[in-house]
Order: sequence, then C-alpha cells, then structure tokens
Amino acid sequence: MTKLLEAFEGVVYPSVLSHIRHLGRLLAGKSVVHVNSTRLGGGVAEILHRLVPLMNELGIDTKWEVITGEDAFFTVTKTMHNAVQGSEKGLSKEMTEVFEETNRENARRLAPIVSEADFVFVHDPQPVPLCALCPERKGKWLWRCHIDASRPNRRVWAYLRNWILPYDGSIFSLPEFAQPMPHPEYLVPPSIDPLSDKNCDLEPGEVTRTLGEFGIDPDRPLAVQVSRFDRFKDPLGVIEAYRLCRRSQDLQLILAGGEATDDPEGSAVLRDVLDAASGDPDIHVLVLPADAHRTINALQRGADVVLQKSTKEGFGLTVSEALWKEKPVIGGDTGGIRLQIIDRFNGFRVRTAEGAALRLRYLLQHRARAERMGENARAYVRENFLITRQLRNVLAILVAQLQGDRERLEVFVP
Amino acid sequence: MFCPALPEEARSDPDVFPVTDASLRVPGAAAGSFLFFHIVFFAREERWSGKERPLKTSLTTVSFGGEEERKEKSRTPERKVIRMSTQAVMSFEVRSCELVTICTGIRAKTLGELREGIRAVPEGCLHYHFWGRLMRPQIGESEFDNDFAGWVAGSLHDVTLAERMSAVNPADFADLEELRGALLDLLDDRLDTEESTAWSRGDAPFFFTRAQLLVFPPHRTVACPEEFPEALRGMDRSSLFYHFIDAARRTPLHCDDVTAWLEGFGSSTEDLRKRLRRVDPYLLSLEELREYLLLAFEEGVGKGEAPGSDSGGGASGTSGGAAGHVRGTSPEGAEGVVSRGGDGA
Repeated sequence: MTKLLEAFEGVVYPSVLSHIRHLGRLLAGKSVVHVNSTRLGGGVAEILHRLVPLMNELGIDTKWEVITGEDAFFTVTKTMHNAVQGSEKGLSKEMTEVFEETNRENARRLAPIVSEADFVFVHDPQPVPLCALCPERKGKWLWRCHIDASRPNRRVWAYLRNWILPYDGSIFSLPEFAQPMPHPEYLVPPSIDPLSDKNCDLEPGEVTRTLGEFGIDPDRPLAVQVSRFDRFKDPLGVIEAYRLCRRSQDLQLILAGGEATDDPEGSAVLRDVLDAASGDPDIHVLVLPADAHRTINALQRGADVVLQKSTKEGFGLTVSEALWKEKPVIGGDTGGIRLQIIDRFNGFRVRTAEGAALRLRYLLQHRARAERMGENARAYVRENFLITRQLRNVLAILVAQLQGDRERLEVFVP
Repeated sequence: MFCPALPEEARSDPDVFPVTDASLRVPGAAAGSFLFFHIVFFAREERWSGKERPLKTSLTTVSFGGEEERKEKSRTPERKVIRMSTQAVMSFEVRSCELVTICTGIRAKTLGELREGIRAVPEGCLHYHFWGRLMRPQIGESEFDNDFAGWVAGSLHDVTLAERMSAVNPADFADLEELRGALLDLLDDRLDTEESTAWSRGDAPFFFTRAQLLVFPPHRTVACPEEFPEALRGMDRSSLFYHFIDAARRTPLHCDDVTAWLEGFGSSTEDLRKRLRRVDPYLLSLEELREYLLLAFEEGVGKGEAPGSDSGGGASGTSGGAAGHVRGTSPEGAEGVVSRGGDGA
C-alpha cells in the first residue's frame, strides 16, 4: 500500500483501496497527462492537486500541465463557459480566432509532452482544441467536461463539438450533461478529498479563532455560501434569502469567494454583491486567496447552515465539502446538487430565494433535525463522493479504454 | 434467477455461456482450479442431459496451456474427477467489481420516445436500468423499483403506468429480451388507451445508460459457511452486487454465487439455501440485502440435514452458478484483462 493511499485507511472500505491498487498495477508504467486552464481556484484544480499525486504513487507517470493565455483568451473562455451552461451570448469571429490562436500556441508548447502520453485528459472547454491540434498524438485522449452542458447555447456547442469529436471518449459528471457524441461518454461524478486542508478535521479553537478574525459572532446563527463570485452561483439570491429569513430569525451571512485566474467576470459580480450587501453589518463578503483552504474549512465548520444556491452548476463540490462537515445544505435544484442533496435527508433543494429563506428558517428552528441531517450528510459523502471513488472510476475508464468497448472485463493483476 | 433451465443452444454458445462462476476454486493448487472447473461442469452436464457433453464453453478465457491444449481438454472429459467429493475442498472467493457507466446518447422526453428507446437499446442498458441503481447513491426506499418506472412517475406523472412497470420483476423472465418484450407490451397498452400520454413531455428527459463491468481478483476466501457472515460484514457494496446481482446474469442457471457455493456442502446447507433462494434482490438495497443474508446465515447455518448425507457432489438442486474459477494470466495481452463479452440473460 502506498503512503498517500494509506492515509485513507479507516476512512473508506478496504476493498476500495484494494480496487485502486489492482487498477494501479494494471496501469503502472503508463503515462498520463492532465491539461486544464488553472492551477489555482475552482473544483478542477482542487481535484487534480490530489488526483495527480495519487496516480503517480500508483506507478502511473502522471503530469499536470496548464495552458497559458492573455486576458482576452480567458474572456473568450468565460463567455464559452457561460454559453455551454446556457447563456445566450455567443462567440464572435474575433473571439474564436483568439481562442484558436492561444490553443495553437499551447499545442506547440505542450506537443512534446502530450503527443507521447498513453492517456491525455483535457479538462473543460478552454484547452479542448489541443487534441485536434496534436495530430501526432499516440495515446488515448479523453475530454473531461466538469460543467453543466445540458442545455448549451447551440451555436457555441456546435463550434465546440467539432473540437471534441477527435477525442477517444468524453467524461461527464451526470448523464444530463452529456451531448450526443460518436465516442463513449463516461459518467464520473467529481469528489472531495477528506484529508485536504479544506476538509480535514479542525480543532474547535481554530474554527472560533477564524470566525473572530472576520468579526463573526460564534454565538449567533450563521449561514455560509462558499463559491466563486459567479452569476450562476446566485450570490444575490442568497442575500435575498438571508433578508427574508432575517424577518423572523437572527442570522449572520458569509459569502466567501475564491479567486480563479481563469474567471475575469468575477470582479463584476463581486461589485454587485458588495452593493447588495452594503449597509448590513451581518453580511460578510470575503474575498479569499485561492489557497485559503483552512479558512474555508473553518467557515464551513462554523456555520449552522451552508448554502449553495446555484441556478446552474457543474457539480457544486462545496456541497459535498459542507456535507462532509456534518452540515445540512440548502442547494439550488440543479445539476450535480441534485445528486448530493436528498431532500430532508441531508438538506433541501430549492429553486427560489423564498424557498431558500423558508428552509433556512426551518433548519434554524429545528435544531435536532438539522443535527440528524448533518450526521446523514457525512455518511452519504463517505459512501459516494470521496476522491477514492473518483480515482477508482478514472482508472477503470483507462483500463476500459485499453480493452475496448466490451461489457465485461475481468481484471487479472500481473 | 431468470429461469430454472438453460436453453440447449445457450449451453454451447460461448457468448451466452461465457463465464464460469468466478467465486469457487480449489485452494492451494493452480492446476486445481482448472480441475475443479471440470468437476462442477461435468456434474452439471450429466444432470442436464444424462450424458457427457463437450466442455468447450468458457475455456476461451483462461490461460492454462495453449489454445490447442484448451481445445483438447474441452474435447476430452476427465471422467475420474467427477467422482471427487467437493466437500471440504471448496472455498468461496470474495470478489468485487466496478461499473464503468456510459451514456448511450439516447434520451426520451415522451412516453413514445421511452418506448422507442427501450426497443432500441442494447440488453445491457436494460440491465443497468433495473439493477444499476443499486450501485448508485441511494437513500431510503424508492417508491419505484426500476429507473423506467421512476421516470414515468417522477417526470411524466403517470403513476398508474409507473406502478405496472415497477411490478415487472426481472426474475420472472427467461432473459432480458423477454423482459424488453414485457416492457414494450406495457407501454403499447398505455399508448393505445391513453393517446395523449404519447405526446406529453416529461419534466426532465430520461437518459439511457449502460455500464461496463470490471471484475477484480478475489481479495478474500471463505472456507466454510460458518465463516461467511464475518466476510459478509466486511464486503463492500460492489461485492454484494457481483455475487448476487451480476451472478444471476452471469451464471447459466441464474443463481447467486453464494447459494451455488453452499451446494457443495450438500444437505447440511439445504435449509440455508432455501432461505437464500427466497431473497428477492429486486426489492432490496444492497445494504438491506446484506442484512437479510446475515439473518439467513444466522438462522440457517447448521439447520440442514446431517452432514454426510451428501446430495450429489455439490452440483445438484436448482443452482446453476457452481463452477470453478480458472485463474491465470490473460490470454488477451499484457494488460491482464479478459473480456467476457456480452451475457445472456
């Protein structure tokens, strides 16, 4: 057993680690490259920070490469990201030129690494042209879509689809997100790392201290939403829900947003949030550095209720983070949140600010029920949304890719 | 599970009869596995037909000897092994599995589209929508017991049809094609009698999904029924899925692996086997299945007839799963993976 995996003993079933070890032996010596657009901020980077070392520890030569680009490129990819999630704003010819030229530059830079790899995972739309732009590629290429592509802007999707077609397979978080493709479309929900700074156990003193640093009263009820300042996360809806709840309940609110280098729209949304929050000392808008994992951990642990009131969501890993910390979560009834929150079992799914306010009041009123939901929440994540499950899924896909599309594969460990 | 007997053509078709039960082997000897494979299959063949039959099935996937040797063995039954007692030599190998879930790209928004999808999708897709739910995040009791019924109720709000679809128990059908036929009949009846339902759109589409099954090597062996409950407590859900759900599709007579194994202990496990055969996994979550099995073992071990009144070398009764798992390296290349192709029922 390897050291990083050893740390999961006692957290997951022994057979989970046994599966990972078997799959690792089958794939040992293979080379894998992950390519995405940021090393800091967002769920993808967080997953790769743990997935890559784990794969290396299993003897799979795994690298993580990040594409680079100017601000103009990331403005285009943000528009693209929003369009895949349904925004009507499309791409102009100039925008696609910027997109393609930046990807051509990255393809030239990365070609020596990715062309020789046995497997290449390209994450999200930003670097998607790399596959077509590396015609000398030798291995299997998989496009990993982390966002909600269930109802994409059709023109933008048609443009992207041409870049996706050359891949050997795609991976989506939910079947709803998958669009018809001529190659296998695998389903792998993302996961959290229970041992990372963001999710590990903390001493109560550290939680109280962190709340104090931000001027939050640990003795008063607290609701927290942690996510980028992004319109699809509906931070303004959260403020509205808080205000509705405050009519009958004492409550403090934290909106904590990380910074992501590939999200130029964040500052505009942040301005709107600050405007909406101005004048209320119980609303705390926190702009945290991308590596403030322990702070986020403490804020989530200090909360009575965690919100993730997204209107569109690729998956919403902050939900699983909060559930792992035994917090009931009120989440938007969308995307991967539906998979994580079971109504009344570990939280509530809502569609409106009014609905979120009602559930906030309920959880603050019924403390014992909220506590039971919190216990359910941790057990549910342990079973379904830890990184060991995702690693297992990813390795299984690599084995399946090597063996072709057969219904039953029996693993023989060399 | 699906039927008590295997059709004649299926017995000689390697695609239908491709995999031996992967849970039994003779411990302590590599060749023993191969030997045991023959023991069980000869016994079974004799039971079925009253005469010897060539054993060409399932050896396609093993790696002992070369291809010619395997063919030769398939043509030349080793009669002497039939008479060996299976008692006290068998161990149950606990395996686990992984489902690689794949979208088919087919989706349905109306009842008519659901019918077309059910008609068109591969058998494995039907299996996934009846059984795959057991491997997905699952909390509490679902009102409807398969994905189709769940969608018809939750998205089309046709609870009448959902009830009927949920009552379709896959165990009542000889194979998945019969199951498909039954679903299509139900849908056609509904579409004929309630024309408007053909066009009403669901709140959300139904996504037809299938899965590849990766089966892992045994990670534990169990020597006797008395040891089994402890192993059962430590199994993860995928082991339960493999030995109870997948086994019903994998093995010729659609029996779970544990009942098949217990047959080797003769009449001493008869009562326990009866209890296990009463389990209806269609109505249980995997955790509930585990609890049920634990109870059955607690109440059933040692409650059979006296040991020694062997009922026939371990391959009698209604079980069809008992067969040796032949271990070795893959004949299909260095990756060490053997494809077992599509299954029958």
